[in-house]
Amino acid sequence: MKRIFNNTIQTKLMAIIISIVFTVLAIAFIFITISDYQLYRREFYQANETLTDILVLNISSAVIFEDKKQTSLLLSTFTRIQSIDKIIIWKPDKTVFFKYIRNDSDTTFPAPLTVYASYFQGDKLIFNRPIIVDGNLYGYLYIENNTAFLKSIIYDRLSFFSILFIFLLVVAFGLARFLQRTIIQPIFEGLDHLRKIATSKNFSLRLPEKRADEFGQLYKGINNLLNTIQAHAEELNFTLNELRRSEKRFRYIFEKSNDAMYIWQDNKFVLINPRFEEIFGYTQEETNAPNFNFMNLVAPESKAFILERQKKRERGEPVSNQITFQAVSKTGERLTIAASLSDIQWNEKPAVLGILRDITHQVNLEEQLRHAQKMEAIGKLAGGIAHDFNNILTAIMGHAQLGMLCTDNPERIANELEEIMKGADRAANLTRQLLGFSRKQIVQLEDIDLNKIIRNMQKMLQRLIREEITLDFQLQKDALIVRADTTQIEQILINLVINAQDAILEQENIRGNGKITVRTEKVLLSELPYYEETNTFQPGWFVCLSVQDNGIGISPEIKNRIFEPFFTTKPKGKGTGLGLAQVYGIVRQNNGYIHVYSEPSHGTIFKIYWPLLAKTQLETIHSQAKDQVLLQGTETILFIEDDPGIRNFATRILEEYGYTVLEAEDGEHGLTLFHQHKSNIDIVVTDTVMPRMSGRALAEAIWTIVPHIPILFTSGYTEEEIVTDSVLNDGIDFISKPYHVEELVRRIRTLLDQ
Amino acid sequence: MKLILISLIVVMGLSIPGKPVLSQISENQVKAAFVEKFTHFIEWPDDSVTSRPFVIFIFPDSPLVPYLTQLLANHKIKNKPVEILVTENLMLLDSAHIAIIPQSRKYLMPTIAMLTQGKPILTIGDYNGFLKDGGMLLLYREDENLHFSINLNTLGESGLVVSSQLLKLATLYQEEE
Repeated sequence: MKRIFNNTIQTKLMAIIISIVFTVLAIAFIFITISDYQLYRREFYQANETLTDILVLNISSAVIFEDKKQTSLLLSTFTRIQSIDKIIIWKPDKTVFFKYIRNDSDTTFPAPLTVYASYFQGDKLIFNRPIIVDGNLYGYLYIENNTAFLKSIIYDRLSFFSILFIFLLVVAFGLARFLQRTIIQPIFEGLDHLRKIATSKNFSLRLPEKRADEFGQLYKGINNLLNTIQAHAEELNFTLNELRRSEKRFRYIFEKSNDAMYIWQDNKFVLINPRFEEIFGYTQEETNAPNFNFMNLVAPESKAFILERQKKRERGEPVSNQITFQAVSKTGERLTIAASLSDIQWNEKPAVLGILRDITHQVNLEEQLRHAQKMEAIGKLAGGIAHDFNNILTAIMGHAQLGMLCTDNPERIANELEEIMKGADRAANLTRQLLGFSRKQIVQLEDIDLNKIIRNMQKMLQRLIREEITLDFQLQKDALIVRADTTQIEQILINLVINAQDAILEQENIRGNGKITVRTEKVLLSELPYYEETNTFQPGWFVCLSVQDNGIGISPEIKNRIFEPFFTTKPKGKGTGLGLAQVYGIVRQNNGYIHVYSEPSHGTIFKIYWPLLAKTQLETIHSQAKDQVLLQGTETILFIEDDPGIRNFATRILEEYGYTVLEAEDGEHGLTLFHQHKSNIDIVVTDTVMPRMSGRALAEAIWTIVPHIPILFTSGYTEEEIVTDSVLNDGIDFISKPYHVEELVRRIRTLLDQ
Repeated sequence: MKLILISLIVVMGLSIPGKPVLSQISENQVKAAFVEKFTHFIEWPDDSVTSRPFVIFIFPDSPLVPYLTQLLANHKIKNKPVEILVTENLMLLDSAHIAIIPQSRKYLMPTIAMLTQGKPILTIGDYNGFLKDGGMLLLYREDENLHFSINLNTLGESGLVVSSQLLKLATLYQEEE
């Protein structure tokens, strides 16, 4: 059975057709033969029965009259019928009246039957008939028919059918062959072609389409399919080649990269590049080994860091993907490695792509450079200080000599000694600065009163700066307790005051009018009053220390660089470039914030914020939140400010309070906006000192358009200074920069409510 | 009487030369039986057979009388009781269905023919010339067998219908014109 299924369709079709024809013919012939036999038998029976009955009728008179001659004559017709073997007539007394027995039949003589009967007995069909006329019995008739000829008819039929059967089988075979040629053969041809195409993978081959029948259409369809396959194959080949090229390119990059690269997955290295092997000395096989641990690569001092990072990562906490750690190679060599780690999908599973750069050499070089730079800085500082120190020494020595010359005049000696003392103070200050820079100082954080420190320094600072420069102290009355290092606070003050003095000295047109103001105040901050990216800011009370001058100011170009170490605008030998860097470092070290505001040619103000201690911060925040509701409004504000940082910051805050803000970067733009929106604008907030058009000129122009519209002036200078310098008239609304959010909003709200 | 009858038959049998002689008794018996058998193959008109017995007219001197009487005692023909009229009275012919005329009454035959012409009365005789005298059915002996001949003319006029079965066994007599 299995063998049949394994055969070709051709063979199966042939077998099926032959089997069907054979079965159908056999059944049909058997059925026909049997039914024919039955029919013949029935017809034979009926015909002979009728014949017998006719015979009885015909011979009855002859039998009645016992006319043997006539009986014989009448029966002679019947005796010529081949199938009749015997005719016997008995008289009623059962004596034989007539007897006919065919020569070739058996000679058995039947016993007379007196009943009416018709029956088959073997091959014989027997009829028994009593001869009765008008109710009188005159004899008995017996007719025996031989049905053997029926068999011969059936045999004849069977032999005819056999020939017909064979003939039909031959025809069926021919038909099957024909079907195979017309149907199967094209399939095989098509299959052959397809096999060729599949074997050679040559998709440009096509099946012959010359046939006009369905196979032609099928071939055409297959050819269309082949067109598509060919196009796809070409595209696939192209893509594959591109992919290979791409793969090759990336592999080239991977293998030729000067950085070590690896793929880490399921706690093992699945791939490392040659540079990795080169740096760490391990081969791919070694790193692939199941017992190889990543920690093998980590130097003991970095193990804790790496493990902590791993733990954080497992806990789902954010970890930096850029790390630097100490590694150790297979040979024990110490390496500094900068690693860049990326989470990737490798073979559809999460993995880590690591790019490791051996920065050992670079770090060494940087260290050397830093050392060199430090040495250079020290050199510069030493040069500057030596210069200053020499000047001081010259002065001290000069005054000493002068003192020695007038030993008789105690008053002059006292004056000289005082000058000597001043020089010594300056020298001491220089020494302190030098010590601070070289970090010889020990930072001692303690709760200190800022005002107290400043008051203690007042005299020293006065001596530090030139006499023609006024040093003004405006200190908050209350104690301002911060946690800081006293020496560092002193350093900050000295640096800022000296810087202020330098800025004033550079400002030639104010010679003699130079002024430095040192101010302390207590402020409540919900956020920093200037923009700075920080996540450590905590709202609350702060101490603000500001140092303001009316010197040359800081140009915007260098404003961002002033805190960089070694950055200086002073002539060679005059500055070290470390002063403000030191200030910035100290402020941050003491959890404070520093901001500089400067108007070129007008002056600079440094503001330093430290968290104020001993105050419940929460309480104040709550009261502030209540305040915030009262300060809200929906009016439109024209806001003019040339500093983009302040402008953006203030606009954002005002919008949060519900106000609509129109922004302008200078007076001219502000005036244009005012013209356009004069009916909507409720208040103008403008900077005072601006390029192109000053705040004052702008205010005059606006008031001619809409008299009495409230205008709030802002400036980095104090109200007093602005008014004194005739920048603005007395009685104007003014707020100094940097202002606190609440202060600005409250002032705006107050003006609007008026 | 029996002896006379038997001797008569024997004489008659002997009187037929050159042929095997049937036993006189047997022949008359057969003839009587033939008469009875003829009734199975001949149909009388309905009105002649309804509501009356089947009547056979026979002369007393006919040798068939005893055989017929014996044969037809308690016998029915055409489903009717049989009445055998043994008489010489020709006037009774009209009521008969069959009339048997022996050779001894040959001289009466023309009269009988005239009396029965056109009537459904089967006339049976057993002597030569019976058919020529206007009889209908003649019994005669041939090859030691009893045969019969039918005069289709007279029979046809009588209104009797003869079965083809009977005609098949009979020789047919045609009157010469």
